[in-house]
Amino acid sequence: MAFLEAKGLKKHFPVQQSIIAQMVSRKREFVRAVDGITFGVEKGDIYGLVGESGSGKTTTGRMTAALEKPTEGTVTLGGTPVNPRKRSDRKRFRRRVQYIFQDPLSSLNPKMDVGNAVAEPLRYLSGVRKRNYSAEVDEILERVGLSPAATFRERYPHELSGGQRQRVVIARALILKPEYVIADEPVAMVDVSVRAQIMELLMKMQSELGLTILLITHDLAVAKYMCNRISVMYLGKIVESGTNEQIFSNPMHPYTQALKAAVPIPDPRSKSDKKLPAGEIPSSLNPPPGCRFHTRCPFVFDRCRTEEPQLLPTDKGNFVACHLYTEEKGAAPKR
Amino acid sequence: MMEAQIGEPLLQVKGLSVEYYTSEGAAKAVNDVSLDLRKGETLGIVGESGSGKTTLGLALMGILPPQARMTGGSITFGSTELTTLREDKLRAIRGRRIAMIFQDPMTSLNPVKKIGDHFVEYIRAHEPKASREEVLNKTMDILKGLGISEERLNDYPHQFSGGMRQRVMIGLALALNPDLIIADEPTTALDVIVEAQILELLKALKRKYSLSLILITHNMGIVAETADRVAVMYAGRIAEIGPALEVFGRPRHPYTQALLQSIPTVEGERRTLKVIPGFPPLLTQQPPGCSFHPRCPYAFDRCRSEDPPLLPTSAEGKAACHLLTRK
Repeated sequence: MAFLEAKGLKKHFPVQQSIIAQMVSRKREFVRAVDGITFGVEKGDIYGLVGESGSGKTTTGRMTAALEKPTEGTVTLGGTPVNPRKRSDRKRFRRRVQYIFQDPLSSLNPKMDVGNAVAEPLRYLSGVRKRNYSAEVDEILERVGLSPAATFRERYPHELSGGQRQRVVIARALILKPEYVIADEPVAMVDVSVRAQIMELLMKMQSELGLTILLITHDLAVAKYMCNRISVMYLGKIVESGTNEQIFSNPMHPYTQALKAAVPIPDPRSKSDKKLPAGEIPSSLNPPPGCRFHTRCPFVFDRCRTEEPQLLPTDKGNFVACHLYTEEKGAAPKR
Repeated sequence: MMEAQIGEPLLQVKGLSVEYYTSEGAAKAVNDVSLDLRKGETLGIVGESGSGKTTLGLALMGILPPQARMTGGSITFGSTELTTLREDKLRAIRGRRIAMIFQDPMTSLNPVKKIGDHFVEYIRAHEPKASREEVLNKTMDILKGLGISEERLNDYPHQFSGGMRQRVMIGLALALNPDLIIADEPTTALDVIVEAQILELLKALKRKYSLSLILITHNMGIVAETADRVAVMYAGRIAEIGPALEVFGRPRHPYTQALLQSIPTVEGERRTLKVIPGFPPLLTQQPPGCSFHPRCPYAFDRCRSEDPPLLPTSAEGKAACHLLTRK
């Protein structure tokens, strides 16, 4: 059993309707943000969830941190269920899990200095009551590269650069020595020349502290650089899952192939004609029947329009949800 | 006639400087920038936030915000000097000859106006005699080329997806057949597949209408795939400018070199990245000498005191680095 296990995870958000619509019809509409996904993350791994906006990757991350309650399905962390009933259990769970958000500026209280912001988790969750946590704070600040710590402790977020702010956010997430960290687009809002610093920092922290990281990103290049295993999501489903090498050297699902082809390459000699899927990601209010990607897929055939493909293992060791790979053999897929 | 003009200079910028007045003093957002653009060419301007790339674009359009002031330099478009032009004359060029596409299509369109009315308003501002009919017919032609069906003229912006809205913005920019389009981060708000679609569309339109394009972005990949020439900006200055093949193939400025080695790509082997230490300087607190020197691995004494001039590195390339003249 994997360290983090998500089984049959679903999250449907009810759509706000007008009062008249509520009175007239009893039918309620739902946004099917995450619609039945199963995956496992091994201890000490950096696992990537990749997809476009609206694919459900952030909702999935939030469910694994108990920030969102699944409509269906379960998440367990080290064998114990996420979302425990008892208050004391919930507090213990909070100590093991931390979340790093995309925008460091809005994650930090503008009126709280760095020292206090980083000490806050200790104050509320560590169970150790102290007047002053400066020893612990200094240690973690040095560790994330905000050195010398004393010069940073009394600064406010607006006095820091974007990269430094993200380091503060990382320090705050790591001060309780969590086991599992969700990093949701950790470099998307960081300057280009600072991104490598933050990626390297997260990888260093992962190996030094033995963290398990769920990395949520829309940027395939970031996933390729940081992750060992990757799942590609589309409209609330995992369409392909495999090791870094499999996903990037031999992408199987037409959506994975399209995503990879769409990423611009920083080399003018590689100018090539791109075969891009038409249109944009449909609304998760009303996902297409059959395979959700069929409306944009260049290889679509009849079966894709009616029957939903299952995520099945391939002989190459990765998992793919596409009829192309079960159709060719003309036989029932092996389980 | 059109063909003959291709390759001739269309826009010349010389020594352009723009300052913002802030509570912490003047911020030199654009500092002595010179560049030129030929007809039919795509110039990519890459830089991080705060590098001055957006301010440069706004200055070229003559739409700087009130707290900004042009403190020097000239902008020559065709044979017209734009910096000293009266507002009413400038208005005849802006939109008609030079058009702009902004980053966020969500905020660039009026939410209570139908798509067709955006075109009517925009075109009529320049051609007051055009009838609504004429304008809408013209609009349909433009939209067809962008993959938007004509029924959608009566839709409102919220009925469009992000990618479709950006197509509308491109349509508006094209509506008056401009010579030059300035696109400021035109795909940053879009998903990666839609981004690629829009970039392909821009490339196709550029060829079709023999447009000149200035593409402002932070993404090195986008520049590599679309630009003929590239200007790399850092802290308000041009660090390096030249043909894309040279800038990417043989970068001469340490900043360009470091940037190219620090960005991950999806192609090829998983390689280790070179981390650039530090962070870009605040515009109000620029270091003396070369503004990249605190982060530069090759910095020596002169870099700390003297600002490097932009010097030729090849027939068309230039870089601003003291290493080029160090004996």
